[in-house]
This record gives sequence, C-alpha cells and structure tokens, in this order.
Amino acid sequence: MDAFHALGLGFQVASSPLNLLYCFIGVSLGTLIGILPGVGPLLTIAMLIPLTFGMPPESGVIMLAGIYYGASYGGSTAAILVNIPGEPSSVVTCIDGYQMARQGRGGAALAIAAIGSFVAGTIGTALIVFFAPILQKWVINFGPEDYATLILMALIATATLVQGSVLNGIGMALLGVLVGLVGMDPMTGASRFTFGSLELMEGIDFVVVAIGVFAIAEIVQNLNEAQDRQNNVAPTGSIWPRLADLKASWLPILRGTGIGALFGILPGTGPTISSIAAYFFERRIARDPSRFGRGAIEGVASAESANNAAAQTAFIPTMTMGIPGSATMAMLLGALMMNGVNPGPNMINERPELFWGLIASMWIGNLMLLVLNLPLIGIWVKILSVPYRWLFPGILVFSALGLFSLNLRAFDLYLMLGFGVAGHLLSRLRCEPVPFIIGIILGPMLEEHFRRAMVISHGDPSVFIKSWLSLLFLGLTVAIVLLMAPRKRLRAEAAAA
Amino acid sequence: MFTRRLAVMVLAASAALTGAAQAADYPTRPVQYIVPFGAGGAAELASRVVSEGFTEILGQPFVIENRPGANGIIGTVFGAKAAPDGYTLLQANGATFSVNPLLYKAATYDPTKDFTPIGLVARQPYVIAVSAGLPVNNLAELIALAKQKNGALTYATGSTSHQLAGELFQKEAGIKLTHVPYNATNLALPDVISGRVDLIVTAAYTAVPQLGKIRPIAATSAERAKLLPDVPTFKELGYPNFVVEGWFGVSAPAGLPPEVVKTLNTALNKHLQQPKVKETFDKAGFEVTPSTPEEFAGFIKHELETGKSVVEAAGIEPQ
Repeated sequence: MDAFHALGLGFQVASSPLNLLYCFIGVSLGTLIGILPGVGPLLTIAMLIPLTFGMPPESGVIMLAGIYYGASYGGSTAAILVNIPGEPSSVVTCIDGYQMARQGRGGAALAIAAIGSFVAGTIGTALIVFFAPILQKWVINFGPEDYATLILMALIATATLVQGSVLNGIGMALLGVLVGLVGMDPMTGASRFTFGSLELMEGIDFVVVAIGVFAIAEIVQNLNEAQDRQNNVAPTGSIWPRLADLKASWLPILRGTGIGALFGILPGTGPTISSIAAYFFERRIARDPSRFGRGAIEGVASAESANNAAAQTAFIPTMTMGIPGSATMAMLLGALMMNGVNPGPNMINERPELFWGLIASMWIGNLMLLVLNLPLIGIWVKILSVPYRWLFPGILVFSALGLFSLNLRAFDLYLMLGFGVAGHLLSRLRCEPVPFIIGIILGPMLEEHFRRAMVISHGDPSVFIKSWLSLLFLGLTVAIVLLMAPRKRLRAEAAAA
Repeated sequence: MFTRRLAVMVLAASAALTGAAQAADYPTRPVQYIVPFGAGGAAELASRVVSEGFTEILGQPFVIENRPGANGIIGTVFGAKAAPDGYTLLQANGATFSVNPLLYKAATYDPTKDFTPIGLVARQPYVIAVSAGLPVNNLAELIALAKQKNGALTYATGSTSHQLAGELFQKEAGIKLTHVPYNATNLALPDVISGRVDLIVTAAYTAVPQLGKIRPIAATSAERAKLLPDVPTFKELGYPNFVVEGWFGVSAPAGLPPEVVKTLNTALNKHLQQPKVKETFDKAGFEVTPSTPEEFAGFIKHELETGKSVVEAAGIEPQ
C-alpha cells in the first residue's frame, strides 16, 4: 500500500468522532500533567491503561500517545513561565523562554513554542511516513561507543552555552555528572555516595533537582530583588508574537525540527539531546550569539521544535521494530500488547489501520494542541501578573505536591530543599544551573554507554575511534571547545574593558 | 473545628490500623499491593491481573502501588517491613527473591523468613538466543564456539534473573562468557540485532517479534515455551539440572494469620483458573501456575538454592 493511500486510511480512522474525542482527551490531559512538575506522562499512561481495555486498540493508543506528546507542550509552558523544566527536554527552553517572560514577552515565547512544536509535529509525522525504514537502520547502526561520544558532545556543548566562562560551565557539568552518579552502579549494583541511605540508592531524581535548583533558587532570587520586580512584571504591548518574532523564528523552527527528528529516534537519549543540539546549533550560527540567554526567540523556537520532533520520531523504533526508546514508550508498547497488538516489523502489514491511524492522529493531536494552547496563552500571562507574593507560594505548593506524588515520601522534599539551597548558592556564585542539571541527566547515560562499549570491546578503547560515528562526535566535541572558548574570552575581555 | 475533626479521623484510622484483621471479615477495607518496579514492563501485567482478581472476588479494592528502585530492592524491603495485617501485600518475583539477596548487600531481607508466601501466579520461560549473524544453529555448536573463543563471546541481559540464567548456562556447559548488563531488554535488542553483542537471555515473549534477527537456541524452562514450540529446552538437550524461569507470585510480610493466607490463596487460584485470565497470560508468554502457599514456599527455597550455587560457582561477591 503506497504512502498516500495509507495516510488516507489513517485519516479516516483518526477522524472518527470517537477517536477525535480520545485524541482531545489525551492531549488535554497531557498538557495538564506536563505543566505540573512531578507527575509525568509515564505515570499517567500507566494509570490510564486499564481504561483502554474496553476500547478498540486504535482509540486507546491514540489517547495514550496524545498524553505523551501533549506533555511536552505543557512542559514548555512551565519552563517559560516559571523556569521549571517539566521534562528534561524542556531544560533548554528555560534559558531563553524564562528571560522572555521576565521581559514581558512570555506570550510571544509561548506562542512561538506552540507554533514551532506544531510545525515540528507536522514535519515529524511526514518524516515517519516516508522515511521510517531508513531511519530504522540509523538506530541499528548506533553502538554504545557512538552513544557515549554523542552524549559527551552534548554535555560539552551545554557547558559552553553558559554566560560565564567556559571553564565554569564545564565544571558545573562535571559536578552534575558527579551528583548523577549517586545511587546504584548500573552494572555491578554497588552503592555509590549513598551513605547507607536506601532512598539514595535509586539516585537523585531529575524532578528534585529541577524544582530545587531552578524553581526554588529563582524564587529566592526574585524575593531578594523584590523592589525591582514591580517594574519588570507588567507585560508591555500585545501578548502575541510580533511579525519580527515570526520572521526570526521560522528558520530556527525548521532547523530544530531536522535536528530533533534525527536524534529523537535514538533510544533513551533522543529528546534531551535534541533540544540541546538544536539550541547550540542555533546559537552557533546566529549573527549575534550574545542575545542567547537573554531572551532570544530563536533559542525557544529551535529547542521546542527539536523536542517535539524528537517526541514524534521516538515512535519509529517503538512501532516499527518493537524496540521502545524510553520507559514511556515501553508503556505504550505494553499497552498495545495488552490490547492484543504486537508492535514490530509486521505491525504495519497486519494492522495498517492502527499504525496509520496513529500517525494521522498525531498530526491531528498537534493541531488540537496548537488550537488549545494559543488561547490559553492569555490566561497564562494573566497568571504571571498576579502579585508575586501570591504566585510564588502557589508555585512552591504545586511543585512540592507534584514531587511528593512520585514516590510518596518526605525524603524527596528534604532533598528538594537541599537542592534549593545549593541552587541559591550557585546563583550567588554566578555558576550556571543548566549544565549542572544536564550533567545530572546525561552523566549516568554517558557512564552506562561508555562502560558497555568497553565491556563489549573487551577493554579496548580504540573502539571509540574505529566507529566513524564516534570519531565524528569526538571531532565535533573538540571543535566545540576550540570554537566557543576564544569567543568567550574575547567577549569577557570586551565586557571588562 | 476542622482540626478537631481531623484529629478524630486520625484517631479512628489509627485504631483501625492496629490489631490484626479479623479473619472472618477480611478484607474490610482497601488493600495495598506493592509492586517493586516502575509502571510498565512484564511486572505490570502480572500485578494488574492479580489485583483485579482480588478486587473482584474479595470485594474490596486492591490497589497497586509502584515502589521502584534499586532493581526491586526498595519495594521489597518496604514490603518486608510492613505490618502483617493483610492490608499490605507484595509482589514477589524471581529477580527480587532469588537473585537480589545474593548479589546486593542492600537486599537485607531473607526471602524465606521475612515474608509469608501466598501463592505463585505465573512463570515465564527464558530463551538463550544468538544474533542472526552468529554461525551457530544449535546448542552444541554454540558451546563449541564459546569454548573456542574462551570468554570472548558476549551475552546481554535485561534483568538480574536473566543474568542468573546466563551464569547457570556457563556453569552447566563449562564455558565462559562476557556479561553485558542492560537496564532493560529493549535497550539490548539493537546491539544484539546488529551483532555487536553475540547472545541474549530474554523472555520467550520478547524474542518472538525479533525472530529472523535473533535466533533462539534453547529454552531455560522445564517444558518448551508455548510461544516458541520449536525451541528445545536445556533439559531435552542433556542438561537436566538447568531449569530457570522468571516468575511472579504474591506474598505478604512475615507473620500473616493463616486464615488470611488461606482466603487470599483461594481467591488467587480461583481467579487464575478463569479461561479469560489464562488467555491474557498466554498472549503475554506467561504460563499460569496456581499453587498452595506451602508449594510456593518450597518453590522460593528451591530458587534461592539454585541461585546460591550459581553465584558461588561464578565467584560473584555481593556488592
């Protein structure tokens, strides 16, 4: 069945009133939980799977998938408005998105994020349709040594994104890696840095650090500057993006989509790395990179498009090979299997209406999210103008609730407070939190893949040079450090002069 | 006013919590069913079916509570420490009961003493499969190749119970392999498919969609896996001591009153006999195995001893 014929079938399935309703429920729910820190798409999907047993499998999957990519829309809302990354892939959005919100351009940031995500979703869907087989091969070609060097590259790239010195950034990234190592050794099970505590054996959760270092530290800082805040909050002019914003964003959106689609397929690492790579690339080729970190719309546009494109292409290995790329994907896979569908190479042939129906509904879901989110922007911006003394306790309460709902234990909250203090110290010392949290996320992944590569090669480190992909990423890493460092020094010197 | 009501509620709740459940009325309120893994994965299906069965038959909601972490140790420790009043149950499985106490110092529980076994739910056969590109077609050829390569062949696992099967394989066949652990089987598949890793120990269920890219060589269960009827078992191929399976069961903290155990076990087995339940499990590659509490206790002991001998032979120290 050729692609257009198949898509036609898909749209037929996806536009049935029942499936449209489920799609709508899914994306709305997804957006909601994406905004709240703590509860994520994984938990929600897990809780709703039993509901899907009574439905036809297409409807169930459409709803669950809607939750999944809806959550990344919600995550960016929180990142932009209150500097809390709802998901690891929203961390990069915080950098420029939140700055834009502080400058009263939060509405524009949200709108561009939504538009960018929609475009990325559309193109991502098209990519799945036409390029799934080729993209599949891409996954198989990636060995642990390639993952390891790719993650290293992303880590270094993040370290160089900071406002301060590159050395500072790398230091923070390494500190993040160190914190990320807390817990059980993934290969031998030995406890590291746990001080005998059972809770720490699981490692330190991303949400804990995100709320502590980003939200709490930010709130403390804002309260410190209480006098100045009054002047900054009032949104000036229209909340919609200006034409200039749209013009500036459309290319970053396309570039971000491309990068995101490519990296999103890689299991595990995809979405986080996509947004980092896209943001970094955008900044590198910008005419005036100093705007990044101070509210550059291109930063938001590229990061958001990348992570939505990645969310779409993450379906490819799951659906076509039966290999889920993340825990959330594994859940979706499980949901399908429990409904009697066997994802894998045969699924496209055996259940075309399900596969193409899902693809078509992803596009419809993205459209729904755009239509849903744009009007909501007005409401979000109004929330921002609430006097801060009411706003920040609300943020704290919701964050704490969300975090507590993960494991139902007070230990997480104490840890969050600890990171809040640490985050405040970091901002006082002008150390950047973004490389720190990225280090926490990517550090364990880097270790896992590096050690696995070494085990498979029986201890031979030349495996990192023998693979052309790995060599490429290593080369890019060196290039990044060389390219970014001198510019920083020059700028720092210019600023000091 | 509100605090007074709250205090009364708290007092009432704590009064209800103290004291063992009256066997005749058990259960009189919702029961917590602890699953020591995150949502999703094989544990999900087993726990869901069980909790739904209990809810249906015993009339009170049996609620799943996921407590993941440390390969299942965190949830299991929590289950061991809970009050033995029948209102906290724990999902027991091969990884947490037979393997973790041998491999991890942090697993401070004793599977034979700290829990009251209630009943087995299902068993899941594993297979040892090779990458399609590896030039072996049966077990004899695989063992010969392994001996020739002397430790250079790699095998992937997605959980500690797979690792147990792998270690037992090495012990029984007298070969050495290099172990490559993964956090989950799905992460291992691309590496095995591409041939970077030579073998994989995985559930028969996971192997089926990948047939053609990986080639199952032998099944580790006592009988051939229903989903892969053409794959011979180790027993058939001349290794009668080699029986390892993934398994799930229901247990509770030690000291549960025998009447409550009987109530739960009867309800569990009744649910497992239903054709609808059998079908669900069959599709997922599980073989339903109802049992009495005593049989389950014996089973746990046997699994633990098998594990001990393997771990000692392999010289693995608890971390």
